[in-house]
Amino acid sequence: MRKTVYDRDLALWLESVAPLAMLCQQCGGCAAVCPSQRHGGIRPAEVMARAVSGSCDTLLKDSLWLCARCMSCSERCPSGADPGEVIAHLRESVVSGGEVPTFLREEAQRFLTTGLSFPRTGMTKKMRKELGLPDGEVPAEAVAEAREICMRTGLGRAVHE
Amino acid sequence: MSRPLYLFSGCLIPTRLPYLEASSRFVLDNMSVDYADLPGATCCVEPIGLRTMARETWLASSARLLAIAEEDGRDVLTLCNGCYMSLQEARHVLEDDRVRWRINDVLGGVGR
Repeated sequence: MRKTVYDRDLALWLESVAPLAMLCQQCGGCAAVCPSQRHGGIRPAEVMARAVSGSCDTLLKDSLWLCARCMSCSERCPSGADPGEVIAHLRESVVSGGEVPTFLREEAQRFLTTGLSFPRTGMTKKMRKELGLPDGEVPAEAVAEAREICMRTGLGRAVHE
Repeated sequence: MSRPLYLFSGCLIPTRLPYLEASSRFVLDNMSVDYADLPGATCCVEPIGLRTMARETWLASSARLLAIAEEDGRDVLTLCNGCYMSLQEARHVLEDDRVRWRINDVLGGVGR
């Protein structure tokens, strides 16, 4: 059975950052266009229903990361409730609550050390060589600058926690 | 097309989809577009996952890329829609004077 947690703070916070979410009338337009839902991923209409009432359960927290941010839902939404942004805000609230998914932590670590969010694998190097492209490594000064920015803003702290 | 551009290919395209970069360069060369790689380009801090961890970091590093391009007075051409989203949203957010002041402070600390 699904456990639903009512979180009043979440509802109030969401109302302050995304007031338009309250305009959702559950027409299901977002669900119809969502490419992730078609493959059993996130269900934007359900997210909207739960977000507005401040009930966010554990199952939803997992599926929150299956949104690709294509923003089809926001484009389709007839009431301008902007489900794509609501999902982004919910992700932020999950992360700031300390539940950082492993892949995100790895990505942040990678950004700090290489300046890129995606790994340069052996396949990358092989493909780039075949296509006659330069190696594509980020210069060390640029990485150092990016790391300094991370340390001065939030990401450095988030990684070292 | 005589306006010089900076090509910013991001991080997903150079690492996982390099053929997109190769074909874009091929097209740009054949259209005789005046372009160069954005110097000192890192990842824009992709707006889908990483941004949720630290909004400020995303804003500062996107602003850094914009600052580099602004220094040379060139427009930025992105290949990836994520990079476009990052830079466009950052530009929009930075229209707020208070935010811009705060981000300039961070960028000033790294010598930009």
